[in-house]
Amino acid sequence: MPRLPHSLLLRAHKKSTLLPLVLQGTRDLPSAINELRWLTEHVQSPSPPLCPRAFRKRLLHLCERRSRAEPLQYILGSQPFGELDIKCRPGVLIPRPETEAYTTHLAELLINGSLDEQLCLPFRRTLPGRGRWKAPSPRNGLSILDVCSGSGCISLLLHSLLSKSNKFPNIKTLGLDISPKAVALADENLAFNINRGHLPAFPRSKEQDEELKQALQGKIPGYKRRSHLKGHKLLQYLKKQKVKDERVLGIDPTAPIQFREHDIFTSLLRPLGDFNIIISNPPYISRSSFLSTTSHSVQKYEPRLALVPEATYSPGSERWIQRYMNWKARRKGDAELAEDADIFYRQLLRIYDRSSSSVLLMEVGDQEQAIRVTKLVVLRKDIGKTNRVEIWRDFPAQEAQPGEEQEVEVEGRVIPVNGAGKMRSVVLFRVEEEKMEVGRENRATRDSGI
Amino acid sequence: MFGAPWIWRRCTNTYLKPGGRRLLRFASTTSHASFSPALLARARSMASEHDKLSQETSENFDAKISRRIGELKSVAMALKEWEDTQNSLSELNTLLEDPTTDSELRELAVEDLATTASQLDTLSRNLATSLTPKHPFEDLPCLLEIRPGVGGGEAGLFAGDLLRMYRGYCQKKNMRSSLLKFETEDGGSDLSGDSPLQEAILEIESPGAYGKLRGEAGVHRVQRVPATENKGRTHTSAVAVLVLPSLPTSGTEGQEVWEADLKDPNSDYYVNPTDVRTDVMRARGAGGQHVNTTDSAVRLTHIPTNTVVSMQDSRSQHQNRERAWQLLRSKIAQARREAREEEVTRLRRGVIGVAKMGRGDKVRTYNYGQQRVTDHRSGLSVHNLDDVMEGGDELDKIIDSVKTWLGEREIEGLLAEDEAAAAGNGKK
Repeated sequence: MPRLPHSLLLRAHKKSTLLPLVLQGTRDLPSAINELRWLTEHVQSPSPPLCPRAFRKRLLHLCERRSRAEPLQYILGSQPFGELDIKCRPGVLIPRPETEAYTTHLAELLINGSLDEQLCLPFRRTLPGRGRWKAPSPRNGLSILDVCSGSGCISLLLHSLLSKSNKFPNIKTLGLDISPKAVALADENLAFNINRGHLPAFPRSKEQDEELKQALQGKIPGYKRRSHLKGHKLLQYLKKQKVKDERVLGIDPTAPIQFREHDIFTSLLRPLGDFNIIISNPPYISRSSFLSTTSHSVQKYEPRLALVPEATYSPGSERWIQRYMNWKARRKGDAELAEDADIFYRQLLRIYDRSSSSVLLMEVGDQEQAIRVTKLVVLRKDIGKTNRVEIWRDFPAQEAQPGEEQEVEVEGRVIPVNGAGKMRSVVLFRVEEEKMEVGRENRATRDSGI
Repeated sequence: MFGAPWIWRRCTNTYLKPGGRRLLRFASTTSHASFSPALLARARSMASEHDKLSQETSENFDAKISRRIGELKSVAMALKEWEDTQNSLSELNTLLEDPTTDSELRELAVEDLATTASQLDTLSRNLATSLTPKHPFEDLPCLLEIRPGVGGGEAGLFAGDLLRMYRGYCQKKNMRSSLLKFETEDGGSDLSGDSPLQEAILEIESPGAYGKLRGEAGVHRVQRVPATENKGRTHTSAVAVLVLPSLPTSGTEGQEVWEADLKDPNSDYYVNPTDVRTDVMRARGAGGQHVNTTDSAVRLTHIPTNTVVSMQDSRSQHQNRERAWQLLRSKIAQARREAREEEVTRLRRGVIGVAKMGRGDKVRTYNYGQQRVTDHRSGLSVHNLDDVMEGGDELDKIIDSVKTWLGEREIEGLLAEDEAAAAGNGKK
């Protein structure tokens, strides 16, 4: 990290004695000025107000923390996200503005009806022996899965925006994260934003509460506590018992929003449920770029678990990682595809296919990754042929800036690129099979077989 | 001349001078006793419209027509009273001129004549006031923008004083106010309270605030020995105050009107979203999970008028965007109205000169040395500077005087307009 020039520090010192401290954290003057103001407001806010001496002491303490590059959001304990306020705590990733932009854009698309066609598609169970199963129409319900939910920001904002529009009367959101800290924080955020009136309050009867409590404690047969069965063992247990995943996770079918601790690499064989929309901000930074590209403050203070995929190795998921590595070895020539930053996308695509959802939104790190992920999609026999793929930039609702290309070609398919900024997410929309010319015969034979 | 010694002569001369010049300032004194025929004709046509419409409504009710009737009613009433008094005046005059009137009646008539004449004067003023069109933004809450002008740090300090003055005034008048934007030069360490202000926007949420404070717009001049001066010299600095009507977003009273207005392309408040470019911060480097930024600044540019609004006060980008939109809408509405007024002023200019107050004109001087505040438009001087700076009754007095001055200006403008129209007709 380059040193700050003395002239800049002096200039900051002239304005306020605390500014150089903040400047060391932010590395640029205008944002240091803003952050100092917010820190001051934060210290001023409690009532009764602090006495001047205590005030100065507290402010100095906070500024010192900031000078060690601790994120402002951890110091203040929150980050605005859309109209919501999301609590932040060390150990959980801080919500990013780009995430806010694409979540809002997706909500807008859903509300203005441009995705109605997708939502009306029936769920298709690909598991042998189950046949086709019709989903309730989106007028009645909409189910959303947020994989790697972290602080719960995406789930909460999406749910809040959609429920405010009154278009979808019955929305169910499930957030999954491997970290117990994140799940606890997400639950807190849910309660916090309900209190502030951004989310509708969820009436729930006492019996339901009791049942859920018992279920989580493992007292009801069929429901199992997750804690003593992890990863690989859990998987074996599932195979033997043929218990539905929902039960193992203790998912309450009546709750509109819930967050559960779950490693998505452990249960691959059965679908988690039927979801219209899957959205995810998975860890996507490769080991090498974590050391080179990622900013100092993020490296030092934010959880590696939420940033670098290889860090998510857990006893159960090893098997899957191993499989993936084997696969990678088999395709040694195709080094581009076998980038370890992309593990999550393969898994997400599997989940997407198994639960036969209509929309999948995945955040990606940069242009190369966006194209790699698009390639993954296009090369898949099943998903690639029944889905429209789009790449969204940082601000998908804005007009493209001059010099930003509006489409890219991946494996012979032209993929539209929307918005302005850097490439930030890959979005899949399921299309009715008749509408895709590619692979039409394939599907036709399969359908007639059922 | 008088044969008096020269020392006396000067004194006696001064003494004997008839009606010695008094040091008084006569700003804007207009007599309303005589009424312009053009204005009268306009009042008559409005009254007849009122009669016609009220006849119509007695048969079938229409909200739009009844609102129009409400607008015309005051004119019709004032005109009726004025005409009644005018009639009685002419009756009295004929009575006086008639040689057959006996002396007792004549005495009574002379007495009556005086009172009626004075009545007529007030009635004409009433009529003129009722004729002046209500300012379209009169009932709106407002945004008060304060920016230091020439004078460097001292101007910034005085801008802070003005902000405190208006906040105090709002508090005393029971008007709800909140700071929309507050930027000091050293970046918001407002603990000491004496860092120079860079820009502040005060939102006054009470309805009717715009009507009350619109006269405050303009350049406020201060003459004092600044805190930063060490040789005791008096400096003159200036602070620009801009008053913008604030448009209710939603959920307030009068919602149905404004909601419609915001979406109606012909309305002043309508801003086409495609004309506005939104710039938000762009993360440096890779963005996404790689960096953690707190930059929440939003800048809106209205491309046709090149109006730029930027907001970075809140940590929430969402909130910054909403505030920026509010400000942009107000600015554009104000600019549109000003453009229209400009046209009217060009019509009037030959008669009354410049009466438009904008950011370019010096409107008031705060002189600390003499503890005096002078408003250059109404000509009112107040010698209780401290009370004014606290936003007390003295400030209220000044604001009221400006309001009356503005009203008179509008009547004059109306007269000029009508005369111009009449002249145009005559030429044809």
